[in-house]
Amino acid sequence: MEPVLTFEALTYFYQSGSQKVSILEEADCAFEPGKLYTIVGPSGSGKTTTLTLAGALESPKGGRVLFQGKDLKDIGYTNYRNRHVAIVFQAYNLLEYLNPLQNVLAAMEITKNEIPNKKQRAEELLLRMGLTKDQIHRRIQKLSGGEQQRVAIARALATNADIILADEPTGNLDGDTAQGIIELFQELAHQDGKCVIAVTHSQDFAAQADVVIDLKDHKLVEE
Amino acid sequence: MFASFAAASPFVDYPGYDGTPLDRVTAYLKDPGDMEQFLQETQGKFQIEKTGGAVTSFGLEMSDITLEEYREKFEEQPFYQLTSDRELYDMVGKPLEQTRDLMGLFLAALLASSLVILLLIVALQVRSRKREFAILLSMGEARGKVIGQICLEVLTVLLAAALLGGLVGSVLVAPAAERTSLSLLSDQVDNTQADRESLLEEAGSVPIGSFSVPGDFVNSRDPGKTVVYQQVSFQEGGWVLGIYFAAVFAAAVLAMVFQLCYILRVNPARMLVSKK
Repeated sequence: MEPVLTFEALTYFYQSGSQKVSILEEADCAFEPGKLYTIVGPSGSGKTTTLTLAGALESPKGGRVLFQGKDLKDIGYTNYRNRHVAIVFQAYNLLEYLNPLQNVLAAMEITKNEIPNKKQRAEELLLRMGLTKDQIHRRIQKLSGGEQQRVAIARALATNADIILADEPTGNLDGDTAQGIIELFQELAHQDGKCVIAVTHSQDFAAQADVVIDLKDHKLVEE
Repeated sequence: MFASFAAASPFVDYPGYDGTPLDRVTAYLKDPGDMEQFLQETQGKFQIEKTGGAVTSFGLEMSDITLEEYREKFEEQPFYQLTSDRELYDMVGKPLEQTRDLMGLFLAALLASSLVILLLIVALQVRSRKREFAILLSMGEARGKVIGQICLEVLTVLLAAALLGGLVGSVLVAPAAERTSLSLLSDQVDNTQADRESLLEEAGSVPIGSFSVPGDFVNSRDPGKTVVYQQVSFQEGGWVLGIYFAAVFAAAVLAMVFQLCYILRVNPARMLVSKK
């Protein structure tokens, strides 16, 4: 299958005082739709930075990030984030002054992708994520961590993005709740055909992924 | 009537007048009840008309007679006098003008400090919304749209505040200000009453063209007693409103620029992803 996302000689570093700290050095990797990928590595190795490069929240110092063969710079970073990628964060990062339904609707309003029957689709997504009808109208702060993460996943799905990026999505959750989230990601990849890329330090999560990518010596190595 | 000479200068239009600035203009009314009408109608519109040998207007009657002749002739028919006198005006009006200037400085300081407080509040508010902006940007919202949203919010709140502030100022503050002004003027007039009477007596026998001698003063219930009629009006003037809305506009621009400088520097990656 043709990859939906490709890293081509990707290089990234940052300056820490007078020192140059290298994260990726001409790393190559390809990500296909319909698969769940996890990126693992020691703390501080640059897993999250890799995710931000994939999500066009940062721009590479060298090399290219390609979406369906096109350079993100040509697509436009904002346009790419608007139409083709959605990010699920460890801290959920929901808009707290909106309820879950409104959070999902907000994403639908922002994206330029065509989404018919927005309210109905938003409700369906949230119910699919395991929330009740009462919960989708409740204030965000009243929901548990797992429920908030489910809202974040629903928001990511709402825009019909091709790629779902997740930064430590189970990091703040207990075992059972985390497992529920992992199963959701599997469903998104296998049933919805999304390319799901999750950064995690959880061995349990990595074990359930289709592909594990190890960030080692500034390279991305498929295990 | 205490007014500047410029306000009273329309009175001066009699035959032989060569345009030399005068320090005193005196007008007489037959009845204190005519005063309001006189004051309204002489605002730049006063016209002197002659009837026979005397100049009359709005019931005014003036002639070239001395104080003594006037008192002999009209003792039984006292006229009521309104006097516009530069020196008197300076005695009464100058301290009030100084107070006004001081209040102007106070107002400027109040406006400046209000702007500073407003910017601090905006800064705190923007800080608390950093995450919200970063989330919107991470979802692919264009930075320009976020900026537009902020501008719209700021303008809406400021417009509502400006209208409400203007309403409160007009309804609550303006009447109080007018009462205060009248009270200040009244106090000032009382303080200069004695000096004023002596000045008038001193100048009373000098004829000024068609204008004649001092008589009893307007609003005096006792014709033998000298009472100064006090008139002051609280005039906001277009310039005051102009300053008010200029301050509102400046506040809006500063608040928007401040937030824009902030939003342009928001980095969603740094704000939203987990720290390792």
